[in-house]
Amino acid sequence: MIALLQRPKQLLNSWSESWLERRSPKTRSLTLNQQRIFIIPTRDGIGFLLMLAAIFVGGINYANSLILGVSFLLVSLFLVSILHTYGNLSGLQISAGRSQNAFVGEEAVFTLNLNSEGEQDYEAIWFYWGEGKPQAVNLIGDQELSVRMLLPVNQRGYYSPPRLKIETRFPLGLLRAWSWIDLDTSCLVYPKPRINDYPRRNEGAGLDGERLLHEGSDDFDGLKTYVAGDSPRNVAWKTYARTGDMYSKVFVGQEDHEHWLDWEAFAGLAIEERLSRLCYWVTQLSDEGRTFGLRLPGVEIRPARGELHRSECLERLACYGLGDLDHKRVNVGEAE
Amino acid sequence: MENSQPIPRNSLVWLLASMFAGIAPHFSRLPLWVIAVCLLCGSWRIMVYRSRWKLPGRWIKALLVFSSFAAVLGHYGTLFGPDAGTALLILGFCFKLLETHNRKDAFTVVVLGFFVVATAFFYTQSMLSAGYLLLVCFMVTAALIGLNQTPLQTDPKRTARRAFKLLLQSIPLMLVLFVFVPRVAPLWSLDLSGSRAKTGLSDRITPGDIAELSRSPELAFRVEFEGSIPDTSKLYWRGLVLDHYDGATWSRGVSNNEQSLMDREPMVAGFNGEGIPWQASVRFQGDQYRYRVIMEPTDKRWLFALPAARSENRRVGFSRDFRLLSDTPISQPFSYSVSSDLRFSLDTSLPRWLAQRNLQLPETGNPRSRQLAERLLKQSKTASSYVTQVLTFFSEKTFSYTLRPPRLTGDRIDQFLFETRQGFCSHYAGAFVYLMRSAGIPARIVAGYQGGEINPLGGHLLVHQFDAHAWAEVWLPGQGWKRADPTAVIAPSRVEQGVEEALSEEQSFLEDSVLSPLRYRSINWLTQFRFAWDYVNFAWHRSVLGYDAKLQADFLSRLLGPVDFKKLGLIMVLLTTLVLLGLAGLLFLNRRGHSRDPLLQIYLKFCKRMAAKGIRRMPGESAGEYLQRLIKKYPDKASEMEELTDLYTQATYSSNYSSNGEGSQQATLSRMKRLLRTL
Repeated sequence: MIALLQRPKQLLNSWSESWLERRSPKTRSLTLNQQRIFIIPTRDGIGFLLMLAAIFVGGINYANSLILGVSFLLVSLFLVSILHTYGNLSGLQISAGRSQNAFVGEEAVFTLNLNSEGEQDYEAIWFYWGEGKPQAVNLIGDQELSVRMLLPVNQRGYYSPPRLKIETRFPLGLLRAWSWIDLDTSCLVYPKPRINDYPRRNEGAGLDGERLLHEGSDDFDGLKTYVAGDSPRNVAWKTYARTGDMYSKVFVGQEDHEHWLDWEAFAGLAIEERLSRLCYWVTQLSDEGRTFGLRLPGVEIRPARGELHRSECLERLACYGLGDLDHKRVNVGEAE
Repeated sequence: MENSQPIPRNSLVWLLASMFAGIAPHFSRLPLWVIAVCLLCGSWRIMVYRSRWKLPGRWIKALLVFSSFAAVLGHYGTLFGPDAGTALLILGFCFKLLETHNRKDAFTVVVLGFFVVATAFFYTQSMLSAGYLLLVCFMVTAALIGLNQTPLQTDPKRTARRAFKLLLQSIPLMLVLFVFVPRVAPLWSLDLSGSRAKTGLSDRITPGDIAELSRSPELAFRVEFEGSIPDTSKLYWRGLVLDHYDGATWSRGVSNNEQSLMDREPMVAGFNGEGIPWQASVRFQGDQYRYRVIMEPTDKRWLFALPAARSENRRVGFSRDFRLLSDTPISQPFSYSVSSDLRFSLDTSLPRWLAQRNLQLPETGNPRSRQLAERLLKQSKTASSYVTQVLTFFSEKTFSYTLRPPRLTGDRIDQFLFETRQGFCSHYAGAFVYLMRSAGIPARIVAGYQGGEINPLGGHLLVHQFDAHAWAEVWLPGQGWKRADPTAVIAPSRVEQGVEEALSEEQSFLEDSVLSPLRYRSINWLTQFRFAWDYVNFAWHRSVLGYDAKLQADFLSRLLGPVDFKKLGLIMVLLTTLVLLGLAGLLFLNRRGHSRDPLLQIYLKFCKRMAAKGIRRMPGESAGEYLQRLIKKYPDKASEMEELTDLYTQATYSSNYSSNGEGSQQATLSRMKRLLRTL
């Protein structure tokens, strides 16, 4: 019986969800139009209507044409402001721009590109997106604008933001026009890095924390031709400036020691703990420009270095155990 | 969009401006301390805005609010009604503005601001003040827009432009609603209490009062006749009947127990179409005129009409002496339709009590006048010949008409009739009635206006305060009440041509109103201008202020045939939709047109023109290739076509073009237009 009572609400929710989906399907870019814009009076607007009703009654009771005139003017103002409020959203083009991956507990950056169709100005448009801080935007004079929205992320893996709400009450605040947009954008959320000492006893697995931290990555050995993926911090910029050719500096330590970051090194810890610690080391070693490999159950990434390598490792950590990686990979290419 | 957000500066500027502008029209009417409190609040808020002072604390606010309530109660004796209500509203508006620090408060202030604008129309309804209050509405709207802008937007002019646009676009719709929304009867009865001093007749006359009025150039009322206008000498606008004399002052009837009933209109009936018990006492006998009186506020209940009048207006009733009365004091411009039969008979048989009332005189005093009455009565056979005797007496003796009569004291009638012999209409009417009553003939003074000035533009009649007049009505057996105007005997020009003509020797016409254009009626262009301005005001009064249920019904039935609520509602919805659709078209279709690149538009026009000449631009053909083909065909126009194409391609594709700014784009555009014209 109770289940029966609960059902209608669920049904309503899922119905409105699917209705929204049909009306405003997931997309990379769209123009706001009457199909997507909803508009209703705000609480202020209802107060305004009550006020003008009071003025109207006063005008009737005192048989005063001009007081009636004021109430008519205010009704008209209200009705005309429906058009203006609607017009303050309609024709606005919104497209998903770049998104930046983030670590758990940080804020992911999503960029929205706004474009006005024609010379229309847009004023006081508010963006509400998930748990991010709402932002107000004016699009006056210039035809294009990028808005960076910060969205807190707290779960590793692929993150698709919820529907974006675009709202405006301009010009009179008596009406609220809004639109829900399902933007097809996402970012990768890496595990939260946890600072730690790399366990010593797993030396056989190839990595010695001490050595790694203190030993000779600074022994310059020579130059080699730059290969895509080499860390930019190792590029010999001075040579590049002189000759126009790109070379990477080679250090003794890097060439000699191929380090392995191993899942098994953190045996005994919970999965998320292990990922967090590995994540720390991935960022740490990449920052230092070292060569390292990553071993996770069922996955082995051969030692390498550079940005590509770093993101591949981080991606593996982010998606560990979540499955369906290859499918998602396509998306990350677009987002980056 | 939190309500607790601070108010954008932009909005505050407009709020302060609208506060001062909105309260200004109330200044002359409000007690001085209210204005002082308003100015204090306003300047305090400005000091807060400039970060010099702090917002008032809770105790100061509470003190201000309570003391203001007490002061309003003390001043008006009530907290309700338009006067006290408006004072409270204005104080509330100022206090709220003072304590405003977030959006929610500011919205309340905006709402109060619109209220203040509306209440101003209780007190003034002229065209100029309506225009001014529209300006205040604009300021309040700008403040409301400012509230909804982001703090990044700090240009008050931009806000103003938006407010102007919004109001301008609202006006057509407002007009539709104004014309079509049904004017219903008041939901409950209200009385605008009048505390304002108004120029006009008062309900008691001491000889001399009307002389004061005669110096006022203010308008009393306008009359719009349906057909022809009667002769000026027939235009006796009855307003008041004064039948009690105490030896110095004529006043309205005092009841037998001598208790003052000045404020109560005795024996009134006929409101809301009810029957009149004394209907039989009047008989209409033809010579009918139909007209509409549009009168200025008087704060009195009496209305003006030619005898004998009838009115269908539900707010208009009748007194026992057949004057028209309104159900409430006239506190704002009021118009009513009347039909008058200039031939009529009233009270052919006079009830005893009424006769007694119109024979009342002080027990003693004025012995010489009483002797005169006795002597003249002996010489006359009938009452009507006695009347003739008395009027002859006035015309034969050396009476003169003047606005500067000598002061009278003691036995005033005696003094006037036998010594000074200089006076004004009320002197003559008073002396006449005294002589009638002394002879046992019922008589009474009628006060009102006589004559009027025709505005040739509107064809309507203007009656000014200086047209105020007093005359007499005397009861003759078998005939009832008849008008007798002794002033007409002494100064016929007063009745035939108006007071200015009657005073032409004395030069005292409007001598205190040097600036009134009425004083300079001999200057032609000034009179033309005065008539034009009056005509505009007349139209305003008639079509806007006087647009009531009756006028609406007349107008709409002339426009649409018979109307009912259903039809009216349908038309209103239809028109509102049409206006909004039109506006939407204006707002949204216009956008597309603008979005086109103007350079491209000109270039496309060029292509079209060339296509008309036979060379069509192929799909995918570049501007350069097209140009080559064109030059081959029209070598004589080569340079123009080349320059135009160059300008277009450079402006569109060259990267350094956009950095050159607005000016150079304008120059390019106009150059292209000029080139296009040569082709």
